[in-house]
Amino acid sequence: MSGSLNDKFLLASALAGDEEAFGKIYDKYVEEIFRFVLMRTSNKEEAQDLTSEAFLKTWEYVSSSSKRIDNIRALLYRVSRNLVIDYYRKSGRQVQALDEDQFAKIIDQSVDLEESAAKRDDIKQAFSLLDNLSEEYRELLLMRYTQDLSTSEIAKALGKKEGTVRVGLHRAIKQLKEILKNV
Amino acid sequence: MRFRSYKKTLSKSVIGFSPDSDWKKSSRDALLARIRQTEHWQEPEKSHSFGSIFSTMIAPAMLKPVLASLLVVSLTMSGSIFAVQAAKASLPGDTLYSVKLGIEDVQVGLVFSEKKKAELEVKFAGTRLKEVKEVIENDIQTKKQAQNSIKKAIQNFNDNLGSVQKRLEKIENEPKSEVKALEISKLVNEKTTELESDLLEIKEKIASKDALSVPVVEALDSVESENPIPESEQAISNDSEQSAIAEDQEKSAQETESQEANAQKSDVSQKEESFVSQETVNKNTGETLAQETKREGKELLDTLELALTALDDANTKSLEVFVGKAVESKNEEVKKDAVEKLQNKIEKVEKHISDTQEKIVQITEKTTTQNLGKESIEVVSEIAPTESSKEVNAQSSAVSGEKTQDPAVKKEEKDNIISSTTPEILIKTNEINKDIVKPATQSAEAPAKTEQKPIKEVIEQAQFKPNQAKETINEAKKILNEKTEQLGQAVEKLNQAKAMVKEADQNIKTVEQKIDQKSEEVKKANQDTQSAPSSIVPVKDSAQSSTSTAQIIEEPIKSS
Repeated sequence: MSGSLNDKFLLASALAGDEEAFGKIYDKYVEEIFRFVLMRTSNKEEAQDLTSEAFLKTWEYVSSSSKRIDNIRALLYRVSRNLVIDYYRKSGRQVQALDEDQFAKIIDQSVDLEESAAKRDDIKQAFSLLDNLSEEYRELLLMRYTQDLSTSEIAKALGKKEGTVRVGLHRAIKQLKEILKNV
Repeated sequence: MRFRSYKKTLSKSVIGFSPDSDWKKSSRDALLARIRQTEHWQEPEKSHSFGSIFSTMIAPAMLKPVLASLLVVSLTMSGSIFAVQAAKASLPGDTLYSVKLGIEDVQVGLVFSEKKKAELEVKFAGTRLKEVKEVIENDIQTKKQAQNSIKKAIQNFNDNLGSVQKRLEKIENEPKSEVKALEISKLVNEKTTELESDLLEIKEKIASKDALSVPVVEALDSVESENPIPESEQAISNDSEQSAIAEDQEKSAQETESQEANAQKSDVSQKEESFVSQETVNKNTGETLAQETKREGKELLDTLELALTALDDANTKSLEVFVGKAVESKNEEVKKDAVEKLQNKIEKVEKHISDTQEKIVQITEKTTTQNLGKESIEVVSEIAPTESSKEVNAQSSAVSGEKTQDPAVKKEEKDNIISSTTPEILIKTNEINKDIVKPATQSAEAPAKTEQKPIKEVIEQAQFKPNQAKETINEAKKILNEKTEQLGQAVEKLNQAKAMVKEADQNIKTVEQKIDQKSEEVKKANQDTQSAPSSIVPVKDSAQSSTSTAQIIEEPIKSS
């Protein structure tokens, strides 16, 4: 509550004429949005471009819309998700989950060498398990457990009802647990 | 594998994925730059503001829990938002004006970045000028109220600029604040230049008609309407005219019987006396009112002057910071920009210098005319006795005229009496005039003589300063042409030149004040000399009394 109240305060200040307040929102969420986009594009440069664009689009929406924004974080996710979809539509490619090679590359770039060997294996395994799930469930699980979004935030980000998201998540977890039993 | 441990690995997995820190920063800057350009950003108070902070965050948080509080709070909220809107439209002098200023303070307080704070403050300074314009254009307030309102707004304008300047100083001293300082100082510099033209426009408006001349005329009008005596000022200022009237009346009186004529004459003179005294009272009240309004108008112009200097200071300070930071910066374009801004400023200072020189020339002319003014007093002092003696002569001739009309009885005696009395009166009036005029001229001359020297010195000093300023400006120009690295020196020279011109300006002001004082003294002296003939009225009486003594002498002769 306090986090979201803080967001609201920052947003209101930004709208009252303080761009630095939006800068603070950027500081707070840029990394997680980048990760979210990175996991969908598997390309660091493209992820960075899309993240920048996501923040700008969000500002444009916030400043021009007459609607009251309850949750800027969820809005950021929604905008960046749409941008990723657009990106794939334009390039004619299919949205892909991280493939192993690219994933290894990213991990190598960002994880300490000492840790990397053991960590890489764990992460690789964790993501490969997700490949067994449907696209919809995979997205729900990633949003919930890698991005740490609440069900209501996921619902807002995906433009779905909260109940639908809750049910979807429940089913995804159930399926995942089944898979984990076999590991 | 258990689901819980899987969740952990999944959540930890992404932590390592982080963007480049360089990209993070550049992307942030680009984002904020784009935000600044958006239309919404340029008019922040249009749809979102203090009120929107309430409605978007505080209000929902407070209203959610209890329905009852929802009602109460929504009522008070809507009330306060209306109040905020009403306050924003208020002008100085309105009850909600202080609320408006309070809201602005809160807005500045709510903003995080120094740049935004400075931007808001400059913006609010602009709002003050808009208020002044509105006050001048809308004739809702009375002139006195309008003057006070304008003064208030301008004082607040100065306050706003003061805090902008403080912010600039703060930024200047901050290390690693290059980009920020460049942005802020550039913004302040540009905005203050805009405001300066606005302020000059306002000053012209005020000086030309609205605030200054109208109240003076109004004040005079009000006095005249209270005491409906036409051409009161002309009558009082023109003594010779008055004496002419007196002569006419006396001539007409001569045509009638002498006793009746005498009675009428005394009536007329009494009336005249009361008329004169009434007029002097009227004139005095009118003058004091006019002087008061004039003084207030002058004060207003002075506050405007102060505002202009405050604006100029803020402008120079911002330029100083900008140039200082531009020298440190590696960006060539920024340096070019700094050079351009400096050149503009130098041009402005040059213009200021030439203006000051013109003023000095005017002042020197004024002082010479002031000397003429002093001579005119002397002339008055010379003329005054002769005029009054003329008057007395006229009266005595009138008396002698009467004498010719009279049946010639004991001519010689009467002639003797008259001829012996008139010279006495002449001598007396001369003495009186001398007594009155001399101290008046002395009082005017004494301070004038003592002030003559310092004024000359001050003017000489003032004349000297602009030339010095010109030299320093030329040096600054040379530096500017030579190397961009030495921009700081150019700014220093510029500041020196500005200080010199300022000093010259101050000198001029002191001279002007002194001249004003002197002219007032001279005016007073003139008034005294004018009132001198009216103080001769008793002398006139004595002349009349001499005629009446002649009559007294005549009457027993007649009866006999």
